[in-house]
Amino acid sequence: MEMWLLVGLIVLLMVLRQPVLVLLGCAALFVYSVFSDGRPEYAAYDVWFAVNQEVLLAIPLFVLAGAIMSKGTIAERIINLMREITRPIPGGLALAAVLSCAGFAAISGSAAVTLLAVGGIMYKALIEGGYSKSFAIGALCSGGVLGIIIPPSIPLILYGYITQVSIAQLFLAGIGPALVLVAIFAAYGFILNFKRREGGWRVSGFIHALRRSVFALPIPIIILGGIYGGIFTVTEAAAVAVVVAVFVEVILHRDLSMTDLKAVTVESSKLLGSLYPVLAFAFSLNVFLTAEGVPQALVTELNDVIDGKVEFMLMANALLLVVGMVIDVGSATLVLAPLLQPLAEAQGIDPVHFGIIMIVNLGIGYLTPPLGLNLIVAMAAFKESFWTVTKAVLPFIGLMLAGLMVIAFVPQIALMFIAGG
Amino acid sequence: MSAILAAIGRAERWITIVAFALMAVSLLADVISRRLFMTGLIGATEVAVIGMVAVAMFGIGVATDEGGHLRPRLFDALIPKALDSGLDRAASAVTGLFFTVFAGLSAFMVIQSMGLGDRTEILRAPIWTLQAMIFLAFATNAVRFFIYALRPDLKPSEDLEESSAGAADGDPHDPKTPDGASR
Repeated sequence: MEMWLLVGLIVLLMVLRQPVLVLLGCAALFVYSVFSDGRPEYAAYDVWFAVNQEVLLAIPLFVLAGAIMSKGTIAERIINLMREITRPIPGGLALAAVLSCAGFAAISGSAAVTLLAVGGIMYKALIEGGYSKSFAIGALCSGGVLGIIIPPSIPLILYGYITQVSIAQLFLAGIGPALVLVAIFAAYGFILNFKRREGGWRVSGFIHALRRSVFALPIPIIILGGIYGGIFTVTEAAAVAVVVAVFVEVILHRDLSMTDLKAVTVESSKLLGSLYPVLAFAFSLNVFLTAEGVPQALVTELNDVIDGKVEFMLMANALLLVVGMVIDVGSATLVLAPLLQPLAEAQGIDPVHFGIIMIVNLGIGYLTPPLGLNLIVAMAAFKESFWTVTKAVLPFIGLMLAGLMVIAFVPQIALMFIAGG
Repeated sequence: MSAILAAIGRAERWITIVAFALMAVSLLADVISRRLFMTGLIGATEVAVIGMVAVAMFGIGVATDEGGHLRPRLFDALIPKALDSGLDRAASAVTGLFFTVFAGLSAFMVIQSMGLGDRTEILRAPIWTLQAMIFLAFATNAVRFFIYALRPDLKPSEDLEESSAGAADGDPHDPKTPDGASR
């Protein structure tokens, strides 16, 4: 009975046009008031415990670093270098677009930021290069999704935080699957645009582009090399990324003024101000569910119903695909990961591998209507209708699904860089 | 009323900017100290966490100012257009009420922590002073949404692509400003 009341409350709040944070906050208040001896103040304590966590420090700093780099010219410099490298290859510009997304993803943890940073420059170049509008939009939207798979990745940090899985291991595990997707996108671009070439190698052009990107290229190496070289932790790497981004964009490139820096910081605060309350209330619900033994009960219950790893994998992926269509990646990760991860572990799936499957799967949600965030960002960035953008990404959704199946059923791809994986 | 909104917004923006700087500088100082002197900077991580709490909580207001909170639109089409204006006011009032309830619960938490004399592990700062940020953030958002309920013209338009990309350059209190249109 109480559960139906809760469902009714959530539906009513959705009809009343309430944001996700209110839905989750009311759900937390409801469960603590009804099921927990009438102690709604526990929800406020959970908010405090959720935001007062050292492990979350990396999120705001990676968000800020990505925002600084996308506002400056680091993205443009990486793109120019990729264009010079891929000039003689058939469909080279398409390959440059995908590689630029991958390159920028290695310094940003967000899909939308990657799409905006690379798409803002590459879209015009692709259209001028004779590539179809549909291909250009699709390639950039799906390339943007690499932003949450290639480390550093905000959703992977959220998954690690909520399931207590090592974030450093999750970052390492993101590399292989990202390479699979890059290869799939690149092969598709190569086949579809085989007749398009920009010309031969240009030594002077290459050297010029290399010189311009000399400060941008080492950034991913500093961030990831620092983490895995044992020089600093993931959190400290995020702080280093911010300082390096400011140093490169403000002092070396001189492309950002202090006023720009202030504006970028406020933009990042806005993004975090929408993420953190969702995270805090999802954490609160998770604390309640765990205290009530819900995940364990679910594992026991579903273990009798699910017949093996393959069936679980198919069911989990189908569920995540549907959820990804209507809920943003962060909220979906925070709500579903604590429930699905124990189930996956009970089926013998490595928690790190499952985290990657989950994020790649929810990443496809960036491309699916009605709430595909990259679709909406692309609409604004490329000034195209929702329908045009949605049609353009359809083949890429198919490619990503194929990639997801490979990543899900070949765990070695995700675990190859992890000791014992 | 727009002056109240602008003043709250300005204060929260500056707090988040300072908090971001605090986080980055304290963590970097910790890394440098560890590499140079073989010992971390005592309390640096705690200072960074305090900065993060400030960004997280006062960022809620920044997101509110710029229509940045994610909202499911599943049922939007069910409501006739004629009811839109009334529903928008009701929505703001409900959100305001939500924040008021959480401001009240946070105030309870702050008073309890004050009574218990809880302090942070390393810097020994009174925990209630940090928890007060949660109360302040919820309270200022409650004020905002009640103002929006009374004056819907002051409410910023929702901007999903903006909220996702974290890009907005326009005046959050001017609904006519095409934030981010330049992108």
